[in-house]
Amino acid sequence: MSNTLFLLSDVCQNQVIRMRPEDSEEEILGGVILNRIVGIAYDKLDFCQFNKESIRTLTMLKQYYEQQYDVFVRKLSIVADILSSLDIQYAFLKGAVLTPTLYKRGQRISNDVDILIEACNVTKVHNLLCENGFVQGSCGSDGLIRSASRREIIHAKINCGETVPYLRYFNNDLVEVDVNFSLDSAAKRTEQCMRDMLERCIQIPLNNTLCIPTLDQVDFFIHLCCHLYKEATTYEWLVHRRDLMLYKFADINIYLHTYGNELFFHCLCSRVKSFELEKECYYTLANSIIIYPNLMSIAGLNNALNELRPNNTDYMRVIFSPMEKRVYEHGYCFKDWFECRNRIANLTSIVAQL
Amino acid sequence: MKLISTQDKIKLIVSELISLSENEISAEDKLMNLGIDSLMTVELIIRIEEQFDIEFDEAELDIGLLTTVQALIDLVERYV
Repeated sequence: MSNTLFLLSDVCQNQVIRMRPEDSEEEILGGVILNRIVGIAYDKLDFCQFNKESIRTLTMLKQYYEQQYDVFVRKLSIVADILSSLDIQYAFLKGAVLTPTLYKRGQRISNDVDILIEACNVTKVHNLLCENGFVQGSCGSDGLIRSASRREIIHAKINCGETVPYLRYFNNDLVEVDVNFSLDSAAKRTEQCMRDMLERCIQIPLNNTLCIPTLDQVDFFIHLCCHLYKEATTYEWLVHRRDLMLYKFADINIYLHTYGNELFFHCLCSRVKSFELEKECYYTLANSIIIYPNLMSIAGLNNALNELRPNNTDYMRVIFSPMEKRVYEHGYCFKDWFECRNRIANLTSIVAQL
Repeated sequence: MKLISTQDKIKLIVSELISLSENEISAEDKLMNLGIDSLMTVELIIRIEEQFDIEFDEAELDIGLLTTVQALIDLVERYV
């Protein structure tokens, strides 16, 4: 099943992907939806192999992805406009940059707008967003915004190195802003790294009238790698099966096919080593190649992998629980781990306390 | 009436959290050595905010900086 899903999530290859005899329609359909790759897979599926209900569902979802693209660009403009009054360095991240710049309309869906700031500026951004009507909380299935308790806000900051998302409706569009201030849950370790990255921010055009700040090409990729590693190796993400969603690897794939070359990888290795982020970046690159072997044709990637490869790669099978303060491991290769239906049940605790 | 100092109030809050006598807690003590992990730190911060009727800025809630009882005292004194 995973091989077919991998092929269906490859936005850089145009061929139609046929299901193999061992694939089940239900699993492929579910996998495409849960991995948030409907927008990519829709154009590659061989619909002759699917029943009408499946096709109807996929078509509705594809249309939803396209509508959400327009909504997301609108949301992005609103947030960019609000943040433009800030007198600090900040950068838009992840889907906020990738969805409108690298993907075609409807290929990728983004639910929230991620920004990166230094930890010391959290209060400034908090105040600005609150002055503009945002509240920290979550949105229920009824569409109502539920304010986070003080305990939830403090817990997120102290234990997860995160802020609770900021939400506000603009007309009927729910705008969610995620404020990031670290590359992992240990904010201290990456404080200098954050500062350095933000000082090198660049402006990119979102449309004819709007430019948004983001990290420079190499730093943006480092952040993507670190973020993917963090989520793939955090216990709480495994619990909700959000640890290895293919859309994150699709981001790596499209990014490297767009910007990857000898110079890019040379700069990447240099920056990664200076920040001591070899583990995070190697994890992402090595596993992305398993999903998308075509990446190896990009000049410079093989050398970069060799250069960044840590002496011991056992850490790639280690899962952390910041909440429980525990460390776990599993014994699977990446592909089997991706296919594993109950990852939690296949973890072994290796350290009682972090 | 005797006024209770910020230091004494914080020590009292810490002592209640970990069921230890106030006298056994000094400002120099590391929270970790008192058995206060990051999950308990959340509880500690909530109790301090309630007792002093303050709300810390999120930027100040840095587990890497709030490592000792003295760090908590210093933080509170910026607000009261």
